[in-house]
Amino acid sequence: MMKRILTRYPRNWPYLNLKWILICLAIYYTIDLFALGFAWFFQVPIPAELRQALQQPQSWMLKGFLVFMGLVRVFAPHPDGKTKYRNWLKTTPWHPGMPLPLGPITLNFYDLVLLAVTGFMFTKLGMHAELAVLLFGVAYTIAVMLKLLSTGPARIDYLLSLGLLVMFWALPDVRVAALIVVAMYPIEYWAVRHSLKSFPWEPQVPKHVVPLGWTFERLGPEPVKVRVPFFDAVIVSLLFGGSVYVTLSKSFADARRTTEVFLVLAGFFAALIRFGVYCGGSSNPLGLRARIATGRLIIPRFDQVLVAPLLLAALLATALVVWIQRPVEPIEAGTFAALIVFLLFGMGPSLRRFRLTGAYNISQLSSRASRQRLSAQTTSE
Amino acid sequence: MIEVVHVTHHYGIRPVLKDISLQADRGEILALMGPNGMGKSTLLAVIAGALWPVIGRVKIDGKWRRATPEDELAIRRQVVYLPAEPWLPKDRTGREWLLAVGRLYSIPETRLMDHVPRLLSLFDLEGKGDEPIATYSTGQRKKIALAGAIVTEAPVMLLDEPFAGGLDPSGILALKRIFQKHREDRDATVIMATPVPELVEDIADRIAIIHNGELIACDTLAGLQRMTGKAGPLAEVYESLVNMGASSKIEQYFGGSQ
Repeated sequence: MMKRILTRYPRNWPYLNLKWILICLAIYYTIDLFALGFAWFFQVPIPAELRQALQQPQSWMLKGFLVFMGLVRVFAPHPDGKTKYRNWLKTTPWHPGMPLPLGPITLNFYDLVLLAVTGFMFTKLGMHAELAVLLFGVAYTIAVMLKLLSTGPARIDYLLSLGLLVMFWALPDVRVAALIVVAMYPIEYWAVRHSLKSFPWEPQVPKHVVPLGWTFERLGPEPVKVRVPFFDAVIVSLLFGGSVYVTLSKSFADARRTTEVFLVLAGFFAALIRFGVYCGGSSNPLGLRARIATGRLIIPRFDQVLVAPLLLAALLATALVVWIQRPVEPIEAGTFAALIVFLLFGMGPSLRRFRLTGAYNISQLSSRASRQRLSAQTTSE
Repeated sequence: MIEVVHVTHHYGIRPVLKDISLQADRGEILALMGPNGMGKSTLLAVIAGALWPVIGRVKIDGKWRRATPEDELAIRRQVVYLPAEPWLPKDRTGREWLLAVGRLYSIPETRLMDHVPRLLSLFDLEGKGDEPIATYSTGQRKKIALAGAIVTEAPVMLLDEPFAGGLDPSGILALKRIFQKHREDRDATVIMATPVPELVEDIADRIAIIHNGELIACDTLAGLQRMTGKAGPLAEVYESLVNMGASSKIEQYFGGSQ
């Protein structure tokens, strides 16, 4: 019976599983009880130091609980990611506009109650009540963003990321930050409703989930599975640059050296990744010796893939020269970060275009053929 | 139709193909022949788009290879390439792999479900079809790779040494019949590289002979017979074209042992 109560009631609130709320309250008040027990046992008033020390875990527990609930509010009732639930729902007369059997993904009155109670508990700990809205809201937003990635409309995530960035910019003013999170909710509400309209989000199952072997992987009609459109590359690079700028603007001067190291490493690895992704398995049609021998020093349809890594290297070298002389400025760091991401994802040619029209040899084959040829020559000699 | 236009290819600074031009028509079986290491596999890989020729181009069905993404994709939908040593996903079963390859080429599911068991049966792989490819013998791996090429139903098949790699006589027979059937019923073009004349003599419409990276002949068996003045089987004609010293070397070898 107790199990039933803990997992089912209130009936229209199953997504905010009562069990978790009770567990949270139990832990919270156990800490208070400990303090009361201490006072009763030693027949002394609770020392201020002890009260303060006990409030620390209580506040962390409340914060953790709100983040957890923010995530659970989306993940628990969402049919995406729960194959059995989704498949079952497909067989029912459910359609967008009807309540979801496991509860709504959008927020309602019960969430307000939860936020009011936890907000009150924060005030008892001497903190802002708005912290509850902020923590719950950020977690909820992140969960919605993750779900939108698979159910669409995924590009709303850019708007929400921008919102989170502005929210972060507003910190440490908890009230303004909470207000921004609240202002973002109508976008999330619309996006969730919109995504439900495209239920059951037939997964874009790749035509093959079985590895196909190199000839089919590289020469089949689907040469590249992952594509980053130019628009997305630009937006992602701007958002990344913006977050670096905001982070650095908010941090103290001593964080600048750390940021420099982070950016230099990021630039270095971005160049390496870009080169590896394009040239991994695709080798130069003519090596340096052959280029010199044949006089074809540049092969534009292959060498184009070296442009982005070389630009990244040049950017890195410039940044190092400047930053050795003085610490990085937030605007510089943001621009540098945006350029790294843009050069990594946005600079042409796209991987698909290169794989389909570039002048390269598939390494696996050329190395095998070279080996074969070498062995044939060795044998004939 | 496949057109190879003045293709030259190097490995490093060593030329492997020297100004090769040839064409294969629809519904034609063309055998690329030549001694080991003379450029057959390289030419096939160039036609398949796995290698980029240093000079020259390849045209398939009126579209240049790697000219535009759309043209290249259109070509890829028409072409299947099977190298001599294909990489197969060893942890998957043969049936799974065949289905995945068929889906990659957008073969309707119902046709795949009908075709795959027939292919497995044709190559005597019914018992192994649901076992991981890792458990297959060398010959069975060759068979499943060939079945993978066939299941695509691609009208252009580029096969590097399809009869090698441990294929048993029943497999060879099955493969020959499939090539003939594809040519007759579907107007398919098959280009295969092989160093063994006996294996292609009865099925190839034309034989292209590559020696030291150069195309020294490309004709029907009758045409090659006229060219060489030999009336015998392909092996004899081929021998006179590429291995002119082979008989004397054999004589020399046995003479030296006495």
